[in-house]
Amino acid sequence: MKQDKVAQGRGPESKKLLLTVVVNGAPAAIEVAPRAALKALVARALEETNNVGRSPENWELRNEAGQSIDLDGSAESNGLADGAVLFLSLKTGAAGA
Amino acid sequence: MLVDPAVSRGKFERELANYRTFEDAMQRRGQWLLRAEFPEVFTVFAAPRGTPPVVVFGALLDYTNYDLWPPSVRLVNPFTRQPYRYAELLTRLPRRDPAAPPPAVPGMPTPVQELMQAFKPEDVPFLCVPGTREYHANPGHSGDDWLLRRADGEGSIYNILDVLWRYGVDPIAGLQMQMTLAPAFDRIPE
Repeated sequence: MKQDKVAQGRGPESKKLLLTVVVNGAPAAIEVAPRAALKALVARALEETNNVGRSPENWELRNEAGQSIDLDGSAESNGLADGAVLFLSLKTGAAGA
Repeated sequence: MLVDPAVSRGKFERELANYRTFEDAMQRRGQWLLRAEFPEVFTVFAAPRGTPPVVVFGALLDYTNYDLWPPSVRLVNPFTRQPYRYAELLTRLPRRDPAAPPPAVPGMPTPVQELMQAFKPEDVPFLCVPGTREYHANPGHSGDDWLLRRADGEGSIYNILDVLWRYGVDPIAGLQMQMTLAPAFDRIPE
């Protein structure tokens, strides 16, 4: 019943991935389930790097190429592999005034 | 001098060490930190897409009195390090207007704000985002105090360079060529 195990997140495909999240230049290594939403990843990365002054909604997660990562999606749906390095940056504040 | 340079230098060196950890990734995207010697960081930005790739601008960050003061940020000529004047900028760091509706067709022009601001074309422009000395020193932003923001990392070496890359380099798709007729002066008759 391999398919059932996968659907329930217990199969070999659900082995956790180790992602590195760089927060304002400081790295945090975090394990995630391949199909878990990445919002929790952001909160944990902020906590581990002691960036707790702003809520997770004020941050943007990008890959090395600068492409936005969908936080409602999972590591799997965003095409992230084990060992991927992601960059978490503050959304740019009001400007141009 | 308002802050013991040893204190500012310590914070500067710590941020620099963090940045160096991922410097290879930054270089691949066209962000080349060429010199970092307290209190200055000199970085050149190149747009890797397109042929040939293009050096777009240099940036000079000054961390004097950090982090009582935020860093000063100037866009400079990458060869001479002379600050660009507003009219000389190859890019004014456009930002999509958050209040504007998305374009009906993806890729079509959309209203933008410029992150590089100046009053006159001959003025040296400043990066108008929180976390920079020029932004917080501007009377128009007196209600947005740096000391309330400095713990958030907006003035960090990583974040400032990331903002410059995201708005100044990443949106560049390549070069647009304009073609004109090339005269052969020795063949022009009297």
